[in-house]
Amino acid sequence: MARIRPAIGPRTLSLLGAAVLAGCTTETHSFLNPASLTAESQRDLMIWAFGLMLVVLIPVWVMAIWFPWRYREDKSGADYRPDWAHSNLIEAVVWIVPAILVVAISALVWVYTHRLDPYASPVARGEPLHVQAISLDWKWVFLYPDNGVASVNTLILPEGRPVEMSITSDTVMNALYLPGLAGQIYAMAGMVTHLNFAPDHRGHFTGRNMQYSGDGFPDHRFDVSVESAGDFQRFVREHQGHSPQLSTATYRQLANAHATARPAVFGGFPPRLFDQVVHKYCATDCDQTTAGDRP
Amino acid sequence: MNWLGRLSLDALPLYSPIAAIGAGVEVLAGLAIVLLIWRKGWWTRLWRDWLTTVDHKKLGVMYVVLALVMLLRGFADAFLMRTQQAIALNSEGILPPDHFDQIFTAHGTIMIFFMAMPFLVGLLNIVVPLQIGARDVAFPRLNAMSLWMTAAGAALVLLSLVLGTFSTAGWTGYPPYSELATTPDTGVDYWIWSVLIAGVGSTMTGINFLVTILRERAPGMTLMRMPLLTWTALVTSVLMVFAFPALTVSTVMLALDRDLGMHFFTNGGGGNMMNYMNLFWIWGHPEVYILILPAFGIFSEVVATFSRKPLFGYASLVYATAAIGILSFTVWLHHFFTMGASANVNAAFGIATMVIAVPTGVKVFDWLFTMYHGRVRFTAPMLWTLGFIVTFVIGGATGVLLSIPPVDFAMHNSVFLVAHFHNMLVPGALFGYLAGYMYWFPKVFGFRLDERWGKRSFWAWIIGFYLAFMPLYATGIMGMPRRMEHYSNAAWQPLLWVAELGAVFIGIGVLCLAIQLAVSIRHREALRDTTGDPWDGRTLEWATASPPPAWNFDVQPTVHALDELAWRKARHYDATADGAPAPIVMPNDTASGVWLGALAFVFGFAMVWYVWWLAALSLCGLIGFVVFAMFSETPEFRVVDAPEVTPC
Repeated sequence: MARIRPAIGPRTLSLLGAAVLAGCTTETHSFLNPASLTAESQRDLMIWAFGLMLVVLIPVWVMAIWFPWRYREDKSGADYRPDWAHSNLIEAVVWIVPAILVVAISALVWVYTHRLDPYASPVARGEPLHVQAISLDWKWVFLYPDNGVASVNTLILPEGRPVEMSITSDTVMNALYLPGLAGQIYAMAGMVTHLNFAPDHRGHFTGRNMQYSGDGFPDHRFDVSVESAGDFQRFVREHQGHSPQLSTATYRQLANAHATARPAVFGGFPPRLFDQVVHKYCATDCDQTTAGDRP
Repeated sequence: MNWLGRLSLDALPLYSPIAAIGAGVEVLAGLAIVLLIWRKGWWTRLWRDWLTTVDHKKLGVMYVVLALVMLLRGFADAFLMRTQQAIALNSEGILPPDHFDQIFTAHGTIMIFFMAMPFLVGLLNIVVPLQIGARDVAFPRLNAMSLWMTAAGAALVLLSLVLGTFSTAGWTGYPPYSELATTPDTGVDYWIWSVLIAGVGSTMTGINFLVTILRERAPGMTLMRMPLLTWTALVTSVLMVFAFPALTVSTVMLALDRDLGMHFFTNGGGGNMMNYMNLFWIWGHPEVYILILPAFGIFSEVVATFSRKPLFGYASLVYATAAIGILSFTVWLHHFFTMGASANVNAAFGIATMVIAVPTGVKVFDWLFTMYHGRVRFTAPMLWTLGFIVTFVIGGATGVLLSIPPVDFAMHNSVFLVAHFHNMLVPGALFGYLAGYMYWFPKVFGFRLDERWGKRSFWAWIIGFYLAFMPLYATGIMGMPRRMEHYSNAAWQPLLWVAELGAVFIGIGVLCLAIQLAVSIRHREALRDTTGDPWDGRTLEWATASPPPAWNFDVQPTVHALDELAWRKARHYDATADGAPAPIVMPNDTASGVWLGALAFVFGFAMVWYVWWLAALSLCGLIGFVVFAMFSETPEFRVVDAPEVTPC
């Protein structure tokens, strides 16, 4: 997938916008410092759309100051036209120009909503890393089904490899948010949602729940670190089978405690734990989780 | 059996000192008002002239009073939130979490349902029948009932500060968090019953104004001769009639889940929270336009009058209004792009959303061209309008950004969203209502409001608005979620202090409004308007006396043109040509609105506290009362003699 480089408008606009917006941030909490193609495209899309809209905004601001000032009562004399209330030309322009703009932005929306669909992998190459995420009050459990490790409130990902996350909730509705990597998707009990992305920079991020969920909500966050492929393999080898298991009892403790938890890594977890959590709330068709028309 | 349900001494607000103080202030203020009325001996007059009235102008005034009182409460909540967030970097701040969570819920609920709704319904009540040359609304008694249902809902919200707690689930009340398993206390119940009762009132208002505008127009007033405010009122009424039942249904279903153990939206048991989001936003998105369209109507009237010109592109404005009304029902899914819908669905709803920007943009340009070649007077209502135009387009642009699904994935639930909808609703709705309040005040009371304090209020509000919400756009882009009781990202704090400063400025704006009212009442003789037309107005409401007689027009006017009054002035039209005075059919005052509101309040209270016997009793009372009112022998109307026409 290519980055967004629409043909219209000066490229400098994007750079300028990014510079202005980047001035606002000091931490890697946001898609202003993207570490994946997905997040970078989200940012660029926003800047481009805003740039396009300036075509309407700037004339409005100019006219909103110029007209009332020019035609203020204590100044205006002969050019008062008390019956002038219609002009086909102006009407045509004010309908057509915004309409063209909306068509232009709509085209971007259609193309990039499909390209950046969180259910589709952003890159074709590479074996995806599967991660299952379960939201609890007020912590996250991550399972790596292919690697036999699990973690609480810490998410370790390899650089340059597509990540395929499946997400559910063992509590009220939450939203898994990975700023700078993938944006967010709701986590809902008895249902599975998905986030696909491919980190392409190493670094540390703060992921979190974005959907208000009670007293512990402000602290419902977790560490994300994107490491080199080698470091990720070392992390798996170090913990797989060596660290304590995430037993069913431990999971139940985590699920029942209405509190955050320290980051921890486990060397294994009960098989099908994720499916059990989903099926706790759902009898059939639990993977058909969408508001729309997913196959 | 416990006769008090779950009501006990634990209901007192001792969980947070600020809640206890707030409750104390509320109770004392209530007592002070009651005492004042008692001492002055105003009870009889209050009951006879106001509480039992069915006069649309007086009902409108009471709606606006309710809105202004609730604006104070909603602002107090906002100020507490901004203060908490300015302080609470790695610290507890001033509010414990359960209180902060109640405050953000109360702020949203109050500002939408009990400030904005009553404000706009009040203004429409005052203006629309006058603008269309009608004697009253189509159903005057229903109109009173709507007011008292709204007031009952507001009373429940105010009561929740003193007894029990309010919801912590946000003004949207998303399940499963709002289900009994997660939030068993009284909060969500207060939210459900206050919103539900007020919502029934709003539905009735919608029906009333729909019929009024379609059926009660003066002879000659064709649809395309209706002033733009009336047009927006018509479209708003249609939206109310279609949208509010969805709110009623979704809150009733949530109540069934909580009270009768059903499983519409629960986790498990066959419940599906996604259905709630669909139902809620099928009401919730049109609601945004219910709030904004009447303000567009007010801006249209104000900009034409104070430019001394007809509205530019009237037909365009009408079609744009209607288009917005229809499109508002096609976009609800953009509130949950992040629920896992397919790219096709998300893209379709994203595009549907941004299509609304076209008619909205047209309106903005038409207002601008109304000033072009005009004679612009910088009165207070005009300042609110100009401030709105400059600011509102920023909110429109950020709205388009949020309607792009991939951008929404990064921004949803962040304070960027909070900044966006405040950018729509503060300049887009509230500035309009305040402009309308200052514009039509002399019509209702016969004297103008003080211009200087009105302008001071405007400048404080607009400066405050930029200071309070522009930083939230920035922190939102920096990943700050909404509804944070405390946080650990030091980069947000300086911006949140700027936002706090903005709240201070808005507070000054609110104070200026209060001073303006006091100063104007004191100087009312100097501000007296004896003409009925203090602004050189263009529409029919300025063609009658200020304040208008109970029957509005001594002789119902015949309409010849759009901007009828401007047409009459230009031609020196003799009003006696409208016809000779004839006896007038007037609605009789009735206490049924007050009783209905009181019964609804008792019912809501009983449902919140599980006082089942009282709930059953008051529900039977409500049904019985409506049936009784239907078969009542008391005449609803009387005929009054023809008024003596005084030439003006």
